[in-house]
Formats: sequence, structure tokens, C-alpha cells
Amino acid sequence: MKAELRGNTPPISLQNPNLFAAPQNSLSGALRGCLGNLDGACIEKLLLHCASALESNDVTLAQQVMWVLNNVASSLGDTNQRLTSWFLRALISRASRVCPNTAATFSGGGSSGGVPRRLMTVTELAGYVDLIPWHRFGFCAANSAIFNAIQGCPAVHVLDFSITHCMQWPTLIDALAKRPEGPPSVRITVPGFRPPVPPFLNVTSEEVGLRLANFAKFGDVPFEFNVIEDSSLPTMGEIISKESCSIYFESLLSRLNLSMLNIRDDEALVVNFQNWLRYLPDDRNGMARNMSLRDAFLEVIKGLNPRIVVVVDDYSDLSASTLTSRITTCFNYFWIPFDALETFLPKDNHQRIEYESDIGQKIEDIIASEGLQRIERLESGPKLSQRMKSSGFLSLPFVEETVKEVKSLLDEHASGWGMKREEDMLVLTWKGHNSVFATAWFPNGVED
Amino acid sequence: MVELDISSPMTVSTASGEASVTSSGNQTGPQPVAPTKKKRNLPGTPDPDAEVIALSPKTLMATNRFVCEICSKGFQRDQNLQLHRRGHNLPWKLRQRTSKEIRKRVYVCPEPSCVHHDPTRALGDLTGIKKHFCRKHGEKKWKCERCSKKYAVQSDWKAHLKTCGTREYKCDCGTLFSRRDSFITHRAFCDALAQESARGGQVLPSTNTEENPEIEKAVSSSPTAFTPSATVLSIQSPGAEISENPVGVLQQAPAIISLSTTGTATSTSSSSSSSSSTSVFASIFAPSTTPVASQPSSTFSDFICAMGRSECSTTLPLAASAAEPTLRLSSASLYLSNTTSSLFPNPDQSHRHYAPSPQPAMSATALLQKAAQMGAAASNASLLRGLGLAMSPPPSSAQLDSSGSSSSTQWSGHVKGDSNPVGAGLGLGLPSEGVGGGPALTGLMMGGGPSSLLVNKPTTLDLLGLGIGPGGASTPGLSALLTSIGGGSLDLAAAGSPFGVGGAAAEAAPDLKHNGSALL
Repeated sequence: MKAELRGNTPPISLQNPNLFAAPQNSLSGALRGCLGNLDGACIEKLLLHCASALESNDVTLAQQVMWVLNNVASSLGDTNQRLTSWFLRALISRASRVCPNTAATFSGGGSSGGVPRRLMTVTELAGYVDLIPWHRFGFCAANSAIFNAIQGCPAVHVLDFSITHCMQWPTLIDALAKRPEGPPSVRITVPGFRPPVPPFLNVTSEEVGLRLANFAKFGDVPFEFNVIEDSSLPTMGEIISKESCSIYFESLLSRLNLSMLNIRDDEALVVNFQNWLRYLPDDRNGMARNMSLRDAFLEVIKGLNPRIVVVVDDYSDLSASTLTSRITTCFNYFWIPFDALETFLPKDNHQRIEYESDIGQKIEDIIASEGLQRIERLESGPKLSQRMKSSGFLSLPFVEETVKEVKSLLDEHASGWGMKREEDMLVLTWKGHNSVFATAWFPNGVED
Repeated sequence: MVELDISSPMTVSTASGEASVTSSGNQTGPQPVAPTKKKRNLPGTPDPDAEVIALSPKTLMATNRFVCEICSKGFQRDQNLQLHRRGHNLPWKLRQRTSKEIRKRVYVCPEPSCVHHDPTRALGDLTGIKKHFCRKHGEKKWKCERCSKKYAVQSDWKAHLKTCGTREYKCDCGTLFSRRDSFITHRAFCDALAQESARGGQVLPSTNTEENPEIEKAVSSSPTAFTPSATVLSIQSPGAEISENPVGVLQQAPAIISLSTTGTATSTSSSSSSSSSTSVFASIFAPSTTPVASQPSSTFSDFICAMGRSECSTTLPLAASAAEPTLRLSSASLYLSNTTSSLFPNPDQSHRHYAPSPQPAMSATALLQKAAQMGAAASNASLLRGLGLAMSPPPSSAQLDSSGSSSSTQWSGHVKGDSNPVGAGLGLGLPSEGVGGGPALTGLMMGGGPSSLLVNKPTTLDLLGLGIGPGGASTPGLSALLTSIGGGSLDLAAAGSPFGVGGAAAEAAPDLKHNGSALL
């Protein structure tokens, strides 16, 4: 039975009326296309309808769309179905934000949506980051750029801001150990604070440092590991609420100075941002000198006069203010890792499910949270480049050697992974879609 | 030169390669065949002008897609064709390729059931889609002898042959790796390495690896070399000394070897770095044994095991010593077993209504119809339960299954597990898990005082926190949705009230009923 439009259809006011060809048959027309089969485009439409229904307080419509989505969603289905289940969950979570107070009674005082926090062992994490080259791409490009930048330096100090708990460094340490002129002495400093996002480890940063130290020892690499302590941080067992992230970021920022970091004269300073800058608030309203915390962070970093700053993050813009545009972007972006996992892991593989669950938490944050609670404030590669330039950094292109290294890394993975260059960025692609970008910078030497 | 350019959003049409050659053979330039271009935003590529191209399987697999319009010679690549065309001494005008150059092209897979058939999932380059089609939908003619993996694309097969079995890295713990970087990363953090250092002995990387001689040199270095190269410092917050005198910390170091796995030092004072270092030192040798089971934690883990379902691969925070058992239930929400104990999907097949196949059990049409009928659910019964009945055989239900009351705890961390009709509001067909309403959702919905919120809806905050007034804005959306669905019995008495609690606004109903009957 084909759906036909009869009678008067009052137009729906939606967030993005441009979404549909003609306002008259907005909802029905879009849904008409869905009646054939529920494919990705259709699901996206349904999600958007649900979102706009929520935004316009149309509860009944929201319920109905959710009901349909619920039937599509399946955590063990195909890529679209799995994605849908996480999106639906996020929408429901959004819908249930009754009032701010109740958020405090939810887990961790933040909207982690109640997905249980999964703690991994270090070895599990090592496997996790290599499941797909999503992280490994950034590690490889960054480490190669760092290696080249510190050639000839007897000492190097890495300021590591990342969410992968130092998984990046074994390969760099290994490469440095084999340096013809001998390894430099290596110091790695990590902040005591880390945004409350997966992957979570079941051990402290200190222990991670110990293991690294152990590893370095066997490579005869003089090694030190430091954690920037912050007594205001909660102890390990407690969960940091998302709203309080910016406070901890500020606190961290105040500790980023030469004396507190104990930066020595002879060492080359390397700053590594891996999936990190996105969590710094970017609100300029009412800030001093019209600089957001993110800008301020970069300014401080520049002041430390690092030899090289590498920035790696997902290639997507998740900072849009409207829910509907975020949904569209997210749905089409997170399809990429889901699809990559689908190509070589079976539907019930637990690693795959866990990886998807972590992405699901990101989705939840992007869709369900607003304001300070939404900590996933990712900006795309080009935008980030713009910001770095405005903050007084110059782009450091990747040399051919690095490009080759990355290419051969990707060759060892499933076909479908590719790489391209966009200006001075290296971009990881999956089936042609941009996934992760890697960039390198150095301060332009102009003192502000 | 002729290319096949037909693109459209939902209905992707295909045409055979031959037809296009003949039909546009007399075109002066490489004009596209009047396509309805659909501007789609591709993931990560914000290019609204990307042209979606659908080629037939035959065209895709054809080796000579690019045909010279002058002499009908075929070429595998466009560049080759262009080179060839130059040889024809074409007048300047005909040589131009005009707008073709600029527009980015993406390709969809001709196979309708394929995910790449969807224009938003198009692939960026022609080679990519060809390879994809071949790999996914083509016959796998190439086989690796060593591991009998099959490949449809010859280059994939060749690439595999290069690496299959040629390089293997083995960690001391026994795990095998085919790639060096993952091997190195694993090894750095592997317990095996930690144990090696404990013994202060040989660290020979395992066999058939190209592990470097530097590592082996390190082997012969005496344990005293331990100290200078490995220090762990904690930078205190301002006020305390900036950094420990390396010697001071190092005095701890030799103690490492003698420290046995006496469990975690339950030193709760984390203010002095040395004591915390000690406890940390001690603990690295315990990883392969019991996960840090200090006093408070053991009961904790029991508790968690009781909460969770089957196997309990609990890994507790290492510094649990520092955190007293006042850990809130929320932070106890550890992901325990392999099965996702999330609100939605439950891999445990017995709970899933759609266990055999993850596909939606109903067609899209039926789904939308049913959705419309949702509003007609019974009035005082929870909308939820009403749904449960209308939609599917109760207990085991769809993907919103909350597998047992324990999961509700995990969903919100502090839930009272008992049900209440709060979850009704969303009407999501949660199963009546023995008790009416979905326990999991209840926890989700309300942090506290659920019933009060339920009772007093439209004027205050409703379930969804949307502050809907009575009769709300549900009318327009609903009727539009219904008209699109094309009817069905529409008893929408309860439509106006989001909670399905009786006595809702009935003003919506008459209009809708009217529409409904018209549609039928």
C-alpha cells in the first residue's frame, strides 16, 4: 500500500526546513521514501524527525518515531542498525533530561548515560588501539614527525595530552632506541587530569609510566615519567563529572609553566595533542581578551617554546549548535568506524561491541548533552589548522619518509584504509571518507 | 569520450555501458546525460556539489570504460584516453572537458542490498568502487595457499601474499602479532616484561623476530643499571617540592626486586609521593595475579559480581586503596562481562524477541502504521504496557530490552529496580519484565520522585522535560505522520496526553479521526 497524501497537512515547523524539498509534504514526503526499505538515508531522516519533534515539544511524534527506530535498531545487526541503536539511546537520554538537579543523581553526576564504565587492563588497551588503524595512524604520523624534529637532540621532553594513556610512546621509544647516534634521554609528562571519556584504564597513570620506564630500560633509553599532580582532582575511584571538566582544564592550564614542568634548558620540548583539544571549551563569551579556554591553552603552549606540536584528532565537526545538524554529521561520520569494524569482525565479537560502545558514549554526549555537559566539541581539521595559525603556529609539513611510513602501515591493514594529503595535513580515509587528521606545528617565533 | 553519468538520490538507475556509447556517440563534447544531480553531504567531505554516479555492474567491471568518441578506442584510464585524444588534433573547443573537471564525483554500488548503494555511503573514487564491488559481490577467484584466504581482487591477493606468514612477532607471553607496531606496543605494557625486570634477568625477545641487538645488549647490563634509567616522579601541586630528588626516589628502586606480591599497600595517604610510589611499585608485580584485591575492594568486587550477570572479569581500579568503600554505586557500574548490559540490545539471545535475525521483523510500512496506532493505546494502563501488547508478545521484546533488573542499576547507577509506569511516557514498547513497565527506563527517566512528576503533567514539566501544555503541539506532527502512513484504524483518544494517563486532551482526536477515515 502506497502512502498518499490526502487532506490538509499542516506543515511541520522543523529546525531545518531546508532539509526537505517542499514544506508541504515535509514529513510525509520524507517518510514516503522510507517505505521501501529502511536504509541509512531513511534512518537518518527518522533520527532528524525525532530530534526536531523533541525540540518542538511534539512528544507524541517523538514517541512514534522512536518506536519505529527501536524496531530498526539492533546492537548485533548491520552497521546501520547498530548505529541506530546508539543514536536512539542518545535521543532517549536527551529526552529524559528533566531538570539539571536530577543529573546529579545519575551516575557520576554527569551524563554518561548510565553506560557502565568499562575499565581495561593495559594489555587490553594495547589491543584496543590497534583494532583498527584509527589511532595507530595518528601515532605513526606523529611519532615520525617528532622523530625527525628532534634529530640530533640529546634530550627530549614530551608533554602528552591524549586519551589513550600513552599507547603512542612504545613505538617512539623503540625508534629512538635504534637511533644511529644513540637514543636521547626521554621524559614524558602527562596531566593528572583526563577527560572522563573512554577508553578507561584500571590502573593509574603512574603505573603506565612505570611500565614505559621498564620498556625504555630494555632499550637502554634513559627515561623519566612525570604526572602533573593536582590536589583538587578526585581520587581515582571517583568519577569526574563532565561539567567540572573545564574547571580541571583551567587548573591544569595554571600548571603549565616552565618551572612547574621542570623544563630543562637542554631538552627539546615536544607537545602532543591527541584527541584532546576537542574537550577544551571554546566559548569566547565573556572571556578575557576574547579568548576561549582552548585559545588560552594554545597560547600557553606556545609560550613554552616547544620544538614541535603535533595535533591529531577525528576529522569531523561536532560543534554545531543545532541538534539536527549534529545528528546528520554524527550519523554519517560514526558510520565510518562502524563500517570498518564490520568488514572484518563478526557481529558478536566483544572487542567490536566494546569499541562501538565507546563510540556510542561519544554519540550520547554529542546528542544528549548541551552546554557544559557536552564535552565533545570537536572541530574539523581545516578549522583546527586555522586556529593554530591564529595562535601563532606555523605548519610543519610531513616529509616524504613519514608519508611512506604511514602508507606502509595502512597497507598492512584491511584494504579500504587510505591516506591523503590536504594541505599540510595527513588524513586517514576509510573508503574515501575522511576519518582522522594529523598535523604538525611549531611556534612562529613572534612573541606576543 | 563517453562516460555514463546518471545520478539520483533514492532511485539509482543503471544503464548499460554499450547503450551510453551509442546514444551519446554523436555528442560534440563529453556532456553528461541530463542527470538529476542530488547534492548529498558526504561524511567528512562537506562537498554539496559532489555528483553521485551509479554505474551498472557491467560498466564497473568493464576494463575499457573510457572510449574515444572519434575512433571508439577503449581505455582503462581517463588520463590515457586524454593522451590519446590529443593525437587526433581536435579543434580547441572539443578538447576542453569543461565542467567535468571541477565537480567531484562519488560512486555508488549497483548492488541494491549493499550499504554502498546509498548515496551517503558512496565511495570517493572509481577504483575504490570497482574494487569494492569485486570484493563484496564478486567471485573470489584468488586463494592464498598458506592460509587459504580467498580474494576477489588480484591486488588484494598479492598484497596478502607479501605478508602472510613471512613475519611474525611473538611476545614472551605467547601472543602472536603480524605487525611490528602492535607487537611493540603490546610488549611495552605486557606483564611478561614486568616479570622479566623483576627477575632482573635476561630479556631475550622471542624467536624468529627481527628484534634488534640493542635489546639484547640491555640484557647484559647489570641490575644496577636499573636505577639511573628509570625514575618515576610526581610533580606536586604548588607548595610542595617541585620534584623529588631523583636519588630520593631511587632509594625506593632497589626495593622493587625484593618486594613481593603482598597485595596492595593500603596506604591511603597519597600526599607523599614516596609512599604512593611504593604502593604503585608493589602493584605492578601483581597484575597477572589477582587484580588488586585490597580490603575494601574484595567485598566490592563480590558485590559487583552479584550485580552483574555471568562471568565477572572484574578489573578494579588500582588505587582502590586510596578510595574508600564510599565509592558510589555509580562508580561501581563497571562493565563486567562481555555481554553489554545496556538498556537496549542484549546479546543474550533468549531475551531478544528478534533473536534469530537482527533485521526488523516488520516492513517499514507496517512499522509506521503501528507507530500511528501507538497513540491509541489503552488509557489508564501505562502506555508502555499497551505498547507491549500491541507490538509483540510481551516478556521478551525488542531491542529495548533491559536484561534483568540489574541492568537498570547500570543504566542510571542508583535506580530502584522496581517498575513504575514512568517509563510509559515514551511508549517504547519496553517489555513488561514480569512487572509492568520497563524498569530500566524508569531509572533513566526520573532521578527522583517519579510518581509526582507523572501525576501532574501538562502544566509542569512533563516526562520529557518539555513542558508541554495540555493538548500540546502534538496535533500537527501526528496528523502529518498519519496521512503519510495512509490510515489504519486511528483511535487517538489518548493521543493528546503524552503519558497515556486517562482524560487526556481529546481535542486532538476529532481532527485526526476525521483524517483517518478520509484516508481509508
